[in-house]
Amino acid sequence: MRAPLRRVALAAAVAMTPLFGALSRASTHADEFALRARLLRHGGPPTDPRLARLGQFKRADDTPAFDLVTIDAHLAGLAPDAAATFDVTVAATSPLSAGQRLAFVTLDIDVARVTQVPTGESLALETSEAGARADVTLSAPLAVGERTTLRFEGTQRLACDSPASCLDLGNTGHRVQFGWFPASWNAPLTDRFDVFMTLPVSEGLDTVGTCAPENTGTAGVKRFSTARPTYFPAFAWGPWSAVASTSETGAAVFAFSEPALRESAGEVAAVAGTAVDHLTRALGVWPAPRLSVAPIDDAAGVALAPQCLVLLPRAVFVADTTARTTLRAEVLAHEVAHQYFFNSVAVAAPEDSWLSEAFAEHLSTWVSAAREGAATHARRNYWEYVLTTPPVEDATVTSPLVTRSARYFEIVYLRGSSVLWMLQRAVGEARWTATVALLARTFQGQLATTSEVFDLLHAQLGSAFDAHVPWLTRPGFPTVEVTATRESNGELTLRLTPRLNVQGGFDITLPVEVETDADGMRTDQVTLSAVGTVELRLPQNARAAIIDPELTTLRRIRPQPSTDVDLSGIVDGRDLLDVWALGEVVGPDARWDDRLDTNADGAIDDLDAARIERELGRGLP
Amino acid sequence: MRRACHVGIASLLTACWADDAPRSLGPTLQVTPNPIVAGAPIVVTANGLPMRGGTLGDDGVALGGRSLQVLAWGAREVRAAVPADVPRGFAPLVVIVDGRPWASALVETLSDTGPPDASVLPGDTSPDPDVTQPDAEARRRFEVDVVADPTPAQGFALTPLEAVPDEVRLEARATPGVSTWGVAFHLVWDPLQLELVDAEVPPDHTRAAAKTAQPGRLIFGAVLGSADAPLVTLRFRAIGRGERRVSLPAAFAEARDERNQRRPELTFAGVTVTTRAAATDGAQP
Repeated sequence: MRAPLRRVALAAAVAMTPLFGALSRASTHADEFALRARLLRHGGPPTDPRLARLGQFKRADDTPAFDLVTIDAHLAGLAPDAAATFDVTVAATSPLSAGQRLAFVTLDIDVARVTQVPTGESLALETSEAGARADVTLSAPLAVGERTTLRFEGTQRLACDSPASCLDLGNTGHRVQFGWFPASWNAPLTDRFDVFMTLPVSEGLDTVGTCAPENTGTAGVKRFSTARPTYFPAFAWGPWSAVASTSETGAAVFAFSEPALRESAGEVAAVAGTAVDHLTRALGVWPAPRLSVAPIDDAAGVALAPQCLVLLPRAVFVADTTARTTLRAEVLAHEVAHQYFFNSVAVAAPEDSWLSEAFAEHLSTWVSAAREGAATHARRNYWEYVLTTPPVEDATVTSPLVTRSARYFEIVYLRGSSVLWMLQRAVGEARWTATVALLARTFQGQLATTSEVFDLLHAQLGSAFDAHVPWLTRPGFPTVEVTATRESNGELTLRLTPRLNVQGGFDITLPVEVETDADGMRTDQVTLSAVGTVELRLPQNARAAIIDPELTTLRRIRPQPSTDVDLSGIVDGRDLLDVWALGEVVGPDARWDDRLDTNADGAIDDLDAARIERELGRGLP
Repeated sequence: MRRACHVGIASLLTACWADDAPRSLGPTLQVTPNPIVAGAPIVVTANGLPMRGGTLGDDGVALGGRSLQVLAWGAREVRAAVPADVPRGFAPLVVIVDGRPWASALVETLSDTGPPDASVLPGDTSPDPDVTQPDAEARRRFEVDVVADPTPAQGFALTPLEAVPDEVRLEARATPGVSTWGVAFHLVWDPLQLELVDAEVPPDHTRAAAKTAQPGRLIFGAVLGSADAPLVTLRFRAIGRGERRVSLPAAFAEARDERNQRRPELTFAGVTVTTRAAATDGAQP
């Protein structure tokens, strides 16, 4: 789940309709990739200008210290402009004097007046930032640690301008709203708070969206609360019953559905429980006291992960094909992972969104690897980024501008998670898992920033992390041309030349696996600078070479000529076997092998084999 | 993809594809062997090379500025002797026609004398085949003897087929009991001894490709569809005398399993071909 400000742009919402129209067709790989991207994008790049403004606003450090403790919201209804009352309790963290102005971020809330609770005294109010900020003037001093409650009255703008965040179909629907935001500039990383929300719900409908549900005792009124600090309300309702299960690690998982989908609900509960178990075992603690999963209308076009809750579009919830079953497992694991990265370790600024999305996707690949016994999911993410993100459209993972990129998903989710996967293999799985667990513990219940996370990773991993930082702080990756020359005396020489692109040069180290007659395989390391050719002389018993088969760094490898795919120096039947063995692979796929796409058309197929056949013998001395 | 793949007669670059026929590129020289070996003869081939009779006049071949002894000058090729003391390295080879450079190529010379099986049969004093004679009916006849290497315990071997005068017929096939996913190799012979007439890949295999990439070398790759079928059947015509190897060099031969992993335990065996000038009317071999 992205930050609460990540509202879907209208254009993106319109694009959701054909997306789910396509679900009735036989799916192709491309369909599934597009669907997964849509589901995980959580509403697409935040084009809402309020986001950028908020990012600056939060860091302005121009407000006195106070701690927002709880928000108790009472909504008069589910209508988009329902009247609302918010009781906001704050505690002073430094002495506050009478006349002191406290700033509150009140996105999507039109505040009409503010009074002191319980006296009812009206307080001076000034709203600004197009309604996103409300400044309240205290009428009495507040000592350190002392609390006071302010009542904000106005209208909760349940702006149903996006089916991703708001759908009301009568007996089913969901709300994922913007709302209050941490506003204590002196302690921005610790200012999380409890939210309680009370709203009327029609009889006969069940409602989910709580970590710890409360019964109001009043018919037709639901009260939602969070067991842990959060900063936006989200819930869904429908004529549901729940399949309740307890995972192996003891987590309570509820899958809600109407009776007709009960079988799917059982599968969903099991898959979600498996993801919870895997992440709990890896990271040591499960941050949500319970997890609810519910179907929402396909028109939402996205999967969502508010606190303790996963909302899945119905077609994915049901998963009626094998491909869709894999998709559901991957999306569910991603959303479950958001209980750590976003709902526990929170982010607030656009440039930090990778801390939510890249980490959630990376943790999802952990779950996939355990399920499949291979890094299929991680490899597919890698290739999906590399093959679909042209250099001119690339951007920096940790840049605030990335949120405006049309390739936001590819860059932040796929490249971001791929870099984490690279780092995992560089430092070893055990060390990396322990580091991620430490990260989750360190920032549990807090906002985190990129610089803070960098500091932690550097402290834990040292130079191994430092070597990976450029992949997060600059866009692009190199394409390396490799020429293999078989000398008349049998020696094999490799010449590796980085090809410059619009992002300039890269300094990288590539493993070169050499197959030899006598020794089997041996691995050399070749360090390439931004420009220039590196020559690697191999022994006479070297048969062939392959560059970085385990995808340890972001790169593309281009044999020259392209038909010498095994870099043996001679185009022959062994190159053909390599292409024939792979079979047909079109576009991003875990099995993708860059060197086999001899005609660079994005497909490994008979055309590549035919090209090799035409050039058999090329390179013979 | 099932197809039979024929390699045509005596073309320098032929293959299984109709669009891959040799193209005339002007006076481009093809030198065999390449690199050339000091002390051994070479064959220089070029499209458009004018034919010469017994008198060469101002015609000739020079290597590094040094004239070579021309052994024969045919319609498209010249045989010449390379002195044993030619220095190793790269040097221009120039064909001179009517006293002027007609075409040239940069060639590399090796100073070693090549593998042991490149030697001429001791005691064989018959003259070299007359490559200047284009009339096939008058071609010299050869007696042919083929001896297969010991069959490997597991692997692939070249096997001689029925004896036909003037010809060598071989097939490459798996040894009994061997089954694997794919095979690739280079088949190498002496183009001065044997001329590949035909190579046929049976349609039993899932995929296959074969190509004579240069004189004396056939490149082959296949995904096997049948362990019983030969990989490729070859028909050579004897054009020179000597004892030479027809081999599947280990450096370029390998079998792969279903995961496309190399199976080094499967080895490859070739044959030794001996060709002698056959007895003709009034002449003794």
